[in-house]
Amino acid sequence: MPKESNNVCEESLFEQLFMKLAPELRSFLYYKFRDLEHAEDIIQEAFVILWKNCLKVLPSMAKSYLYKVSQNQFLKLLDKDKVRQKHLELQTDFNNIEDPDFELRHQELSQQLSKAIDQLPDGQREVFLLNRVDGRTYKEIAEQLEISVKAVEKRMSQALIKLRVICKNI
Amino acid sequence: MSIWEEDDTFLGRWANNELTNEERAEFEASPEGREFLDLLIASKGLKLPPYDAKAHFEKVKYSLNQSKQGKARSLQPVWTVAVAAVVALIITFYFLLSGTSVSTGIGEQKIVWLPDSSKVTLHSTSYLAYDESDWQNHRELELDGEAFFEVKKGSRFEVNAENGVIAVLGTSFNVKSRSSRLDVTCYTGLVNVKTNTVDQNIRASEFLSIEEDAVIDKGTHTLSVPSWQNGISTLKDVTLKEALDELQCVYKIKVVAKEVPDLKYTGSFPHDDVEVAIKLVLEPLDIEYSYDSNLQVLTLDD
Repeated sequence: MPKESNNVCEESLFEQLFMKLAPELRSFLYYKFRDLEHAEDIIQEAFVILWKNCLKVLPSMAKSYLYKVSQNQFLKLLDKDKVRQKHLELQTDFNNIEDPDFELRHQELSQQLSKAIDQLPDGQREVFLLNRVDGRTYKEIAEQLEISVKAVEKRMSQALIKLRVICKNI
Repeated sequence: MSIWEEDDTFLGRWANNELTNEERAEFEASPEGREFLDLLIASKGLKLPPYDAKAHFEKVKYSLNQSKQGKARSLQPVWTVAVAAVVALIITFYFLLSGTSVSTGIGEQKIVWLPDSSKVTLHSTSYLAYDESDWQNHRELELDGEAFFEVKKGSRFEVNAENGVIAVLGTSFNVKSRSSRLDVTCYTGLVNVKTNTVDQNIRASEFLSIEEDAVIDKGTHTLSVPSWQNGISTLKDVTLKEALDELQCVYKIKVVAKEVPDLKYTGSFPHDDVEVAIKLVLEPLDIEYSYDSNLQVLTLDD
């Protein structure tokens, strides 16, 4: 068995990284910047940049490298005012919900929620969606956003308080 | 003041199952607690728009190949840039020709030059294949979708579509073969359309539509090139389903309908404005619909 390679210049490894990291990067960028089309373009760019610098990047560092590069690219776009859409609305899908408490009335609420999350401040929206839609733990989110777990708990609390008010008014 | 207003991490910890059973039960028994619980349950219905990571990775590979050429060029002095550009062009051209298949995505059109310098314009979501290395002996093309052929004078070949074979001799013509229906429109010269039972010649300014081995329409037109080449899809007496299919060739939209009504459509729509296009297809047929431009979902009402 070959040992873990010390860079990501091997195509099969590069592809594995993409299949693993692109989906989570996509949610993260979408939640943060609310522009799915640009998020996907930027993921593509970030992986191209990773490949060009593949000799310098250890596989274990690839993830944080990609997050850095893609966020920087997004900020550049924002500077140039290229991000026009800035709108997040998730889809709803009630087919594979295992929770027996999920009733018909929750479907309607879920649809309200899909619109209401767009009105949350950036920090609260990221935390809420990463946890509730992507199933990431508070610890993972804290590391990702470079904040404390306590801060994640706070943002989650604020998000819920706000969502309750918004959904009541829809 | 209730506990979740006093303690600014309370709800976060509650949502993450960190409370004791007593704390939890007490909170969820309160009216507000019940509402918060409903929010958590409802959040389970939220989904991201679907994502095809494999297809996305192919794009990454593609742009890597592109940028390799760019990088090589930028390191060279100006005159070698010109030479490199020409070489790249020749290589691209060579690959374009020796590659035996070309396909187009949604809303995309491509021009393909055949070995005999005939020109093929491929409409969106279409596929064209031919044998490049043995063109002299195998003058045949496979087509799935729609394409406009401008054949070099004196050149002869055949287009195999799913439901028929079109033989040509120095002419320009359009073939649409996307479903069980085959539409052939001739612009100049003469083509021959052959299926199991049909064998007909079509002259300039004539068109022929065949479905299930029977001629369903034949007549004349006044165009010099198909309208889709100029960014307009024109459909004549097609089923609503076929019209929606054409819409989905040009625009990346999803159509949701319990049942597609069995109606016939005749009309045109542009390739550069999805909402106008949808309107032009559905309004004449009196179909109520809604279009969500963010999700790109078109829903037909019952």
